[in-house]
Formats: sequence, structure tokens, C-alpha cells
Amino acid sequence: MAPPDRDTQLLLAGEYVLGTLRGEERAEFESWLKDDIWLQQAVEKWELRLAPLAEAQVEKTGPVTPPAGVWERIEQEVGPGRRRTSGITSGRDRATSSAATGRRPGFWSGFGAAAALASMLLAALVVIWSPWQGAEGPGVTRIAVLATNNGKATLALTFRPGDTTANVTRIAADPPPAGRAHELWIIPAGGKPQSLGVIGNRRVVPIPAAVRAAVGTAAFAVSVEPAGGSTTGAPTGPVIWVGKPQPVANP
Amino acid sequence: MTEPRERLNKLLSRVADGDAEALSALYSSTSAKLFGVCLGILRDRALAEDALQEGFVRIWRNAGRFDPDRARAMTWMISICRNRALTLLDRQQRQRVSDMPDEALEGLLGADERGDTDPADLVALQRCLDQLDGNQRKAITEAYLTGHTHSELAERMARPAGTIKSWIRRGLASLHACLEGGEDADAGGAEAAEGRDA
Repeated sequence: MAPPDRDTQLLLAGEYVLGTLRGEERAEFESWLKDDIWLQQAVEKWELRLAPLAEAQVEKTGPVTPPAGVWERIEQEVGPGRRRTSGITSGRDRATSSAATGRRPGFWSGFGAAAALASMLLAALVVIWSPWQGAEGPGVTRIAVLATNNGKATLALTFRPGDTTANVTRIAADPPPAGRAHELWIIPAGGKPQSLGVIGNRRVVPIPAAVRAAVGTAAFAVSVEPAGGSTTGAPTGPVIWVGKPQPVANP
Repeated sequence: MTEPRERLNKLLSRVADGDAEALSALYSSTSAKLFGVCLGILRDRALAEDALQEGFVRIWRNAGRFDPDRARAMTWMISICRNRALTLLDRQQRQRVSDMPDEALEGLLGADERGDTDPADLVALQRCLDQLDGNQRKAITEAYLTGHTHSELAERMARPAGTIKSWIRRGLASLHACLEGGEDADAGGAEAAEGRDA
């Protein structure tokens, strides 16, 4: 069903935040929300306006310490923590090229070939782009330069084997289309894509424990998703950048 | 002051940089409150734990989108965890009527200026809620705090669901008009706040 007029949507946003919008109505509202920045802002406004009520309630009823298992599960999901301080942190400013990030529906299915091509291009890119000599070795920093399928390098990820996080360096990463987000995926060799989260302006992304061992041979990809990221756990939009890690020597 | 906002803002910006220690510190500082918020809506410990877990994973992933100029850290995190709690609640499709006594809701507003709740936010909201019709105010605050559906609220308030729905709709419209008019109504807001203090 087509969304109603904005005045009605504003009130529906309020009901969504109150929680009285349920079932199909809620699902339908969320489907409008995905692609509509105006509506996202309306929801956010209601959330921020009403949150003092929740705070006041908790002050009154008292906080409740959650059991330790909750934090353990969170930690498992985001990767146990230590901060990465080494690696590449500088990068050329994002270019404001108007290169289209339009939909290429068949792209994901051709991902294997695209990745192979990108990987060849990247081997060349790394030599040009990186000041280091390539070298194999277990403790050696890896760099995955993600590129468009015509070879334009957009984003680099650097990490060492076993790291819980990877550093993100923007090379010429165009921002996502309005109301959409760029989501980063890791694809273990022979496995399914797993989300590393929406990139936004992050400089570091987690490497989940489940894929950490396979990270050296995995591929990385970025897809265009609804704001907030894919809700299905798999890429839903076009895959626009891909890359595979290559070893580089530490400076 | 339990958690000055600056500290939480700083922790969130470190979380945005992928600092898992900052996430751990943020969890230590805020999880009990956020768990309380989730419990208020879900009234089921296991579900509230799931909501809190999903909420913190989202906080980790989306911290880069937090903008301290637009929201306080606590407000932002509450919004995320409430959203997860409501999604889980909706999924459960549970029909249950709260055993929360009305008195717990009455007097909730205006009761509190302790903790790190920003009094300015609460006062503005309270001033606008005070201007609503009593039924509208009750339906809105109760829906927000308990996660009840229209029909659950109808049962609690002994009115038809359609009536509750229209109370909420009209109340939200008035609330929006009042809160949006906030910039022009500073003097009125200050007066209202003083009136309450007196």
C-alpha cells in the first residue's frame, strides 16, 4: 500500500515509537521507513522527545543489573575487545567523483569472477599504492583494497591475522545514495557472506570470531543496503565493491 | 549525577572507532538502566536479555551515526534498545495485560530530576504532556512505558480500542504541535516549570 500523506505519517511515526503500531501495520511502516529519510527523521524525533519518559521511569523503578551472560553474548557477537592501534590510518581524502553506484542486479551472482578480476587488479594496485614490499608471513599485515568492477579502488581494509578488528581507509569511496547505507561483508572461501556492519564513517570494523581464522583467504564486499543495513542477514542490494586481502610487509 | 553526559558521549565516540573496551565501559555504565527499560516493555527477563543484547550489538555497529549535537548518549541508546524490545514484543504477539499499578504511572512525570536525565528535556516534554487531555496523556504515557497494544490499553482503561486509538492520535498531534512550538514558547515553558516547582 502507498504511504499516506505526511501529516498522517508523522502521527504513525509517533505510534511506531510508542509501540502501538503492531503486526502488519508495523511491518508496513518499517518498509516505508527503509527508503524514506524524512520518515526516519520523524521517527528519530519522536524517539528523542519521548526518551526522557523512559529515563524517568527507570530512575523511579530502579535499574536492573542484567545477568553476566548477556555481556558474554554481546562480546561474542562483536568480537572480544582490544583496540587496534597499528596499521594504516591515513588515506587520501574521499574523492567526490560522480561515478554512479546504480543497481547492477546480476552482480552478486557473478561475484566469484568479479572478485578474481578485482583481486588481479588489486595486486597491481597494491604495488603502486603501497610503499611496502610484499611479503608472505603469518604476522604480516594484510591489505584488502576494495574496488569497483571497473577497477576503481574505493576502500582499503588492513589487519593482521588473528586481529579482532580491521582498519578502514577510504581511497575514493563515494557516499551511499540518499537513504541507503554501504554495508561491508566478509565472504570466507566457500562460505556465505557475513556482515561486518554498515560502514558509515567508521575507521575500524570488527572481525567476528567465527570468521577470524578464515580472514586471510576471505573476500570482502560492499553492498548498497537500506539505511541501518540489510535486515535479512545477507546482502539485498547491489554489490558495488569487492576485494581480497594481500600480504604486505610492515614498514 | 550518575553518569555525566560528556563521559557517555566520549565512550560512544570511541565505540564508533571500534574500541571494544569503550563498549565494555559503556555497557557497565548503562546496561542496568537499559535492561530496566527493556523489562518495562517486555516483562520477561529472557526476552529483555535478548533485547538488551541486540540493542548493544546495534549500538556497536551504529555508533558512528550518533550525533552528540542532536541527542544525549543515553537518549540515543534508550531509543535503540526500546526499538529492539518493541520488535521482539511484536514478534511474540503476546496478549497480556500489565499488572503494573496505575499509581506507578501517576506521578511519574515531574517526580524525577535526579540521575543524568536532562531536566530541560523532561521539563519540555512534561509541559506539553500537561497540556493534553487527561485520557490522552494517560494513553500515551502508558503505551510508551508498557508497550501495550490498543486492545490491551482498552482493557486496562475500560474503553473501546477505537477510543484509545483516537486519544493517542489526537494526543500525538497536540504533543507534536506543542513540542515543535517550543522555540517560540520559551517564556511559557519557564513559567510552567516555575509553577510546578512552587
